[in-house]
This record gives sequence, structure tokens and C-alpha cells, in this order.
Amino acid sequence: MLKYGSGGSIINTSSISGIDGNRGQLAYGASKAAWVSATKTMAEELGANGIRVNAIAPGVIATAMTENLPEEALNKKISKSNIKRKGTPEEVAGVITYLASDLSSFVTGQIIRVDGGIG
Amino acid sequence: MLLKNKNAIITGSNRGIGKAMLIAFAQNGANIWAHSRKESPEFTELINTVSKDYNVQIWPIYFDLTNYAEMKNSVKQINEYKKTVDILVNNAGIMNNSLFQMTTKDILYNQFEINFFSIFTFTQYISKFMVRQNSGSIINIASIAALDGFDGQSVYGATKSAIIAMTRSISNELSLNGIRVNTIAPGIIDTDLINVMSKEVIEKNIANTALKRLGKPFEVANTAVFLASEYSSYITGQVIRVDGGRL
Repeated sequence: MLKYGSGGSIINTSSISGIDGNRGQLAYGASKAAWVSATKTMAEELGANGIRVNAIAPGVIATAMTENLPEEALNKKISKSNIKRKGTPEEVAGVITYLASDLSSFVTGQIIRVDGGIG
Repeated sequence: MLLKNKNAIITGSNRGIGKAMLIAFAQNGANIWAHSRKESPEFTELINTVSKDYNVQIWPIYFDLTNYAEMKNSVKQINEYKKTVDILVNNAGIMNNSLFQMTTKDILYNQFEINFFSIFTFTQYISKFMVRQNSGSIINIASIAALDGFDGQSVYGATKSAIIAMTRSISNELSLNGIRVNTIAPGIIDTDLINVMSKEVIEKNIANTALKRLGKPFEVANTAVFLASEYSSYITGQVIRVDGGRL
């Protein structure tokens, strides 16, 4: 992106665990929290070159990754959301499409929660 | 086209960010109730041009945000169309800067009346349609002034903070009815509103953004399109900063 001077959009995948913390996810959450800080710093450093950097922070999404989690913990999490269901991979993809496209051309350094309204 | 066959209400659609929203929503196939405070030849011309250019229906609605009788009448008009109300964009608002110690009660009350009380009431009316149809997306326009705090904006920022608190609360309440509620917090956008700022202040603000420029009205409008569309179907209760990255 820097070489061709064409600008660009970088989208990192954090997690609500990286923002809220979550029992049993100390290492996972900390690794995702790193992307909150990295995203903001990257946005600051690369902005002048027309490169936008944002992150998404998904909540509970219906993928293989959440299939193996204890059901009780998952349901508790989902009950905290406004929408009261798991998100779909397509719903996360929709947000990535927004951040990748010109729809978000003045959005950078942001962490967008895709969590059905948990936080 | 992200909003094909959706029907949207956009308040304050005659100029600035609201005008850009009118165009962006029409571009994406939405039919629009376009609100303005009062009828004018320019607004009529704008509506006609945009509806013809993008082959959508645009219906003007007029009311002063402080006139609840007029507002109620507009709600009645909208009801008479017998159409779903899929999207509400609470865009209209005013900015009246004054230093804290210089702020009169009039400035305080007037800004809250327009930027918060009227929006609260209008959203109550319109959300009834959405509850009935069990779906909807409400998009409020706040400001980074609500989050960051700026000189001279103790009132303006507070009105916009109120909008954010309302967003979080009603996102909770209305999600049971399939309604999502989100807020956009724009940074410094190139509209008439920034005419009150000195060139120096504007330059300083530009330097504070990662992208090193002012935002354009359509860039805020496009995030509203996203929040109105299915792309954001798992997003609610959020505040999205459209500010060029003030880090």
C-alpha cells in the first residue's frame, strides 16, 4: 500500500473479549486486546498515506470456534446481548465489507463491535 | 444498492450532512420522507432532481423541531402512506457555541429542545411504526464533541451525549421488536456548521486527524447507509466515530 501510494484499508480482527475481558480467556483476550492498541497506532502512522486501519470486535458468532465452548457460558453471553442470538459469519463479513469499501472512507482507528449489542 | 425498496425518514435533509444522506440513500434505492423545517423552492428542486436521478420516491415533510403540533401532523402524514418505515435518521440539529461561563439559559434550553427533546419525541412516534412491523433501524447523529469535549461546546456536547445515552438505552428496549439503534459521531466535516470556526482552529483539527483532512458530508452519509443496511444486522447500541482518526 505504501509502495504504490494507492492508499488502502486494513481490517484487523479483535474480539469483545479483548475489550470486556471474559472468564477463561485470559490469553485469548489479551492477544485480541493487542489488536485494539495496534489498530490505533497503525491508523495514526499510516493515515497520512491514505491507509485506513480499523478492527472489528465480534461477539458470539456461529462458527466452528464457538461450537466447542461450554453451552452454558455461551448462552449466558448471548443473553447479555440485545439481539439475543449468535451472529452469523455473513453478518461479520458485512461489516468487513463496509470497512473495506469507500462507505467508510473517513473512518479509521476504530474498533467496531459486531456483538448484537452486548456492550 | 443496499437499501432497495426500503423506506427511510431523514430529518434536516435540506442541507449539509442531511442533504448528502438524501442523495446517498436515494443512490442506494431507498424511498425517502425528506424532512425540512419549511418549504422552499431550493428544497423542492433538490427533491425532484434526486428522485428523478435515482428513480426513487421522495416525499417532503415539514415541521419545526420545536413545534410539537407540526411534528405530530407530519407523523400523521407518514402514517397515511400506509408504508413500512424501515429507517429513521435523526440528523437535524443545531450547534450554538458559547463558553461555559457565558452560556445563558436560553442557549442551554434551546439547544436541548432541538438536539435532544424533539428527537426523543419524534423517535417515540416513529418507533411505534417500527414496533408494529417488528423491524427497523434508527440512526442518530451525535458528535465527537459528546465524547472528547471541546471548548465552547459544553451544551452542544451535552445534547449529543444525551443522544448517545438514549441510543444505548433504547437499543436495549427496542431490540425485542427487531429494531436496531446506533449513533454516528462525526468529527470535523466540511459543512456550513464549521463556518463558526477560525481557520487556525480548522487547521489544528485537520492536523489532529490521522487522515489529515476534513470529512465530507457524503462520508458521514455512507456510514448511515451502512447502519441502515443488512450489512450491520448484528450491530446495535453502538457509537461509530466518523472522524478521520483522532488518536
